[in-house]
Amino acid sequence: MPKLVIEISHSPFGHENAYAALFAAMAWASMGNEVAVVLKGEGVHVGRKGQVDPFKNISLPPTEKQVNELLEVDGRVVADRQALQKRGIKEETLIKGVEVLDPIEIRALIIEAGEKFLSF
Amino acid sequence: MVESSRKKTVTMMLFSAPFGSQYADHLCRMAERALDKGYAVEIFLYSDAVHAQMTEQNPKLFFPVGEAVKRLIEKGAVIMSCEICSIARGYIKGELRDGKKDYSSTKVINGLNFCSIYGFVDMLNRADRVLSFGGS
Amino acid sequence: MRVCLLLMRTPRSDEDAERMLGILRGAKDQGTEIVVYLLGDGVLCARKGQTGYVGLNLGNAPEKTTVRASARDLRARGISEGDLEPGVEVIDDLEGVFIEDIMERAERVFTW
Repeated sequence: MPKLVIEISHSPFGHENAYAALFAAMAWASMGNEVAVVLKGEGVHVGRKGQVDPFKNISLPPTEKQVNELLEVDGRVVADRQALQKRGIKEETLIKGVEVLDPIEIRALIIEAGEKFLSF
Repeated sequence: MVESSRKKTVTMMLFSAPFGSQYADHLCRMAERALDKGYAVEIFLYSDAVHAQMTEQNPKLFFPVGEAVKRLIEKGAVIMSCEICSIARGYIKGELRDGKKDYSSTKVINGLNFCSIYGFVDMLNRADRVLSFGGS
Repeated sequence: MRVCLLLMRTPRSDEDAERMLGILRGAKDQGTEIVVYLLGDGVLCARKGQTGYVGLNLGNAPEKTTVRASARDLRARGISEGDLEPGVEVIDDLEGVFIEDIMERAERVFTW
């Protein structure tokens, strides 16, 4: 099964990066391919749950919904533990199914699964 | 065509608009060298990168991305642009006409085509190597 | 495993440097061969005497690490070979060398 790693280092909404990355990840996974979305730096905000109707509030699509849909089709979403800690984000505030890994584990994942790699 | 299908393919995603950064310049130079060396090149313009498809770019002092895009098409690169990104930015209407999407536009460089995100998935699947420019 | 990194910018923070260059340290554990290609603003990473997150910090890199910088981009930025970290290779056709490497030799390629 072809593997793709997509790295996100931007928080949702301020830039299109997170939305576009998840959009591509979902399309890739929905065709039966293997994907791991890696949340680094400010990108870990993509893993937080509790967005309240971004369409209504800021006229932008909800990335939390995208993450849930990706997890439903067996996509992996992985957040950097160090980046979470720096931002005071506790694991229990993450979307159910988002994995938390140490930087060394993430590096190993990227090298192992990164046959194809996109950075957003 | 058979010979062409045997070529190794490098697929490049551009995520940034021209001129605001050098990413489009880097992609164009990289793609041209890949073509010169006999590799198949496929390019996906995503998000603000669709501005690279605009006709009549005239940057005067900056790297001429529009001219480079035309040259890449002439040399055989397949350049696909994100359909919804292009509709959002007013390049195409993308409405159904006689059962086909209407991609006609005077604003887009000839020879460039449009696809959905699933077209990009196909490009990724065909690729021997994938490069991303401008996302980070 | 041969891994190519293409850097077209400099890191913007410690965290960003870990993201872009951490793979050098991750690779060390796995005996991976790394080739770093510096293009555009990425060539600034190769200047010697830099501290903190702004440089390549090759002291932490695996022994089998090669760094190649674009001659054109160095010249444009007023950086001479004498300004570079020891061992950095200055390449006239960086794009051509990079493309051949990733298509014919490398097993992984990561770009920033």
